[in-house]
Amino acid sequence: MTTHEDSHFAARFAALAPQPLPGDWDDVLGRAGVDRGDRRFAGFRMRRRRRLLVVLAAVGLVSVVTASALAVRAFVLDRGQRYPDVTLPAWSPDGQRIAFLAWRPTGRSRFELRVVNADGSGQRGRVVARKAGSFAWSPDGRKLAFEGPSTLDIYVVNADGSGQRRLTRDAAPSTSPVWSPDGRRIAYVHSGGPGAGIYVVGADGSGRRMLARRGDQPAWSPDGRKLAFVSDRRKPRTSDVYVVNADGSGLRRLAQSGQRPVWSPDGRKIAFVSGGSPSPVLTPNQDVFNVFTMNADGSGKRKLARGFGPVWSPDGRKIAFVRQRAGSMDVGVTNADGSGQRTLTRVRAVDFIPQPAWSPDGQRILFVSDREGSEAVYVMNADGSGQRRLTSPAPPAIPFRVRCGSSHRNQDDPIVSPGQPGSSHDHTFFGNRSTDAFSTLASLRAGGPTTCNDPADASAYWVPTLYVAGRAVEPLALIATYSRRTTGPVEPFPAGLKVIAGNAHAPRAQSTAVTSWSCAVPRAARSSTIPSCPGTWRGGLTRNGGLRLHVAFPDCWTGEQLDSADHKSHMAYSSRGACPRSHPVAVPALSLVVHYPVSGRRDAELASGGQFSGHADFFNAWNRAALASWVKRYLNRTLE
Amino acid sequence: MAGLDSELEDLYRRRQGAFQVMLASITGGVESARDVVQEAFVQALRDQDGFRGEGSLEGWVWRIAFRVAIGSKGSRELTVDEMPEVGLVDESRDPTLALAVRGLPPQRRMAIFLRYFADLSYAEIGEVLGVAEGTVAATLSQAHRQLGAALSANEVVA
Repeated sequence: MTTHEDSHFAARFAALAPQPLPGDWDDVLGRAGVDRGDRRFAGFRMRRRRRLLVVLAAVGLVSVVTASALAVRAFVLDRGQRYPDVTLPAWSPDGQRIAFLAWRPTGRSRFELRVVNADGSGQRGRVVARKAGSFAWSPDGRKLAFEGPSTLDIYVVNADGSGQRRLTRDAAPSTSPVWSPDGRRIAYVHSGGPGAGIYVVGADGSGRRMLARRGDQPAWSPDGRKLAFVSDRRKPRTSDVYVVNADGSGLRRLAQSGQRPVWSPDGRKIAFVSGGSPSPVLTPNQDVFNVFTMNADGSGKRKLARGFGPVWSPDGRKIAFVRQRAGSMDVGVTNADGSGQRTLTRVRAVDFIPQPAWSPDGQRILFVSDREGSEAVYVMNADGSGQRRLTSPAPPAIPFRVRCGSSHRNQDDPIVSPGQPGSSHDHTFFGNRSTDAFSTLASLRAGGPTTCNDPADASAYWVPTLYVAGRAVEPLALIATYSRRTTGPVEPFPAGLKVIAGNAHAPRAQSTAVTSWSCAVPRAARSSTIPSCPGTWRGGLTRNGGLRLHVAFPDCWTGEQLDSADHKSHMAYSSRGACPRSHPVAVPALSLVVHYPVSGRRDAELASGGQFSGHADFFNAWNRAALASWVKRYLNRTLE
Repeated sequence: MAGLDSELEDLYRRRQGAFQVMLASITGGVESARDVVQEAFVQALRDQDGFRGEGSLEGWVWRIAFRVAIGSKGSRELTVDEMPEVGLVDESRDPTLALAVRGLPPQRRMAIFLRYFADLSYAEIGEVLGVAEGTVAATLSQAHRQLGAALSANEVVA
């Protein structure tokens, strides 16, 4: 039953509806603990998901019991998720070097495993693994075990980056390696499927066996005879602390509702964390956690302090931890009996975690701070004095996105044919609702509400209209991504900049780096011709599938003209992170993705002709201060 | 597990986007909404006996999803009064409509969102809310009138 009001309101509500995220049934099965049967496929999907969880766990130092999908969410800034610039700093056993994960936001974003000198020399450090998750030093300091690179398996590499070896080859993910104190074995977490649990494997890859099913966060006792870990075996979506002998015998639960167990250096006590909300989303800058200690047999539990991420001093007399106060985090220290609590830093972190790590000689503590602009690893004396930076602050540019609905269509083009309405092929406009042949910067600025989800973006974006079987297709949305491809900082786009990307008259395929088509599915390939995509639509909303047009704009500018005769030559593409001398001013790399609710067919073509003529126009009318602020906060997260 | 697995999978594949869009108006974002949707299907997979086949499978999952969205424990179904408040939308995208929607009483708003965000038929809405189809039609008709009046008032001024 429908009414005429229905169709009217349906159209308007469709514009108000957010774009749903892709959702994998395998994720549901993974959460439900169901084995899919088609193991290879399931494992593949699980990997992607686990990768995210591992990354987020690394952020939080809080538990991720994968089997039950107790997910830890990354911190959410104003828009989108962000990953930490550096995370998990760890001393080598001799205290001479520090390994950490550095986020590489450009290209295929990933964490790099780097090693720097603890004396502050060589701040950039050496890349030991180009893509890694959690890792651990071998007790002799000569190797690192880590998860990665392309699949979630356990690898071992020499501390200089040579001799990388893969220890596990599993359909489902293997993560979170920890070395036994004698260096001969590595415990790790295997998740997904009926074989999920804590495993031990020889450091040479031999003699793999399961110690306990359904577990996470393994920690060897200092004598190497036991492992503490967490598991949800009692009840899904819980996390209890267990201990098991290294031969798999003597399993027992030590604490209900605990995570991240850490043995005291003498092996007599275990520190752990409890708290957080019962929801699957833990936010370490909001949820309240508490650091507890207990005897190694589970007796004598004692709440020490508000916070998480406990680390014992090497003499076992103190515990450093992430102290939570008033929505921010700092490094705190407490005596092991809970007395003498102090805050050592003034980081006041809200969107990353300070992550203390005690030096093997007990004299110094590592932590993460952003006090010089972007996050880096710092070191201080154990009393909080003498703080200094150890790693060069990475200049990671974090892309920001604007989502704009299609606003209108016409045959105008204020860049190519200003003042000549109706003289162009049919265009589909996004963002500014007033764009026509007479548009100027002033008219766009006065053009009323934008269709973009950032009201500060009054820019006009347009593409040639897509036709399928002769009928114009109304896009679902345009996603405009502003990123940085140059190594140096970028300037915001100058107000009133006009530029065209792609060739409207291309007789044959253009570079797919400039324009291409793809299906709105995971890991979609880019192609020059319109692919055939899966997809079903109801009520104007896409679920999975649909067609996308990609157009990438040049990211270097002459610094002078806002336009040029061909509307292109005042701009150029950067190469290897640098702008050409002719176009010395680096600006954001703007790339557009237009989502269409069609499956893409042979009879689809652009108003500019055929399938090869993909191009897009951008007329910058951003609120100047807003764009400058986004560029500064997201694209230029540099020291200088 | 067997039973409803394949039906639930099919429902998820067809409709998880609509679940997300609807639930985002409760949770405030698609990320959290996706999480709620997945958890709702997890609970549906685990608690298949809870589906007694009296209504549609989708209606049952919607009721689970609302329960998950408000963090309700156990498998008891929500009463009408316990239904979550909907209406968190990105106002910048259609400020006039967003304002008009905000002016609707909660039950009309819920019906409107189930109609246009969840893309449910009148019968399905009735099933989710536990009311007769005629009541849904009446509620939506009132909501349409109220929205129409609010929209025309605002848009004439604008």
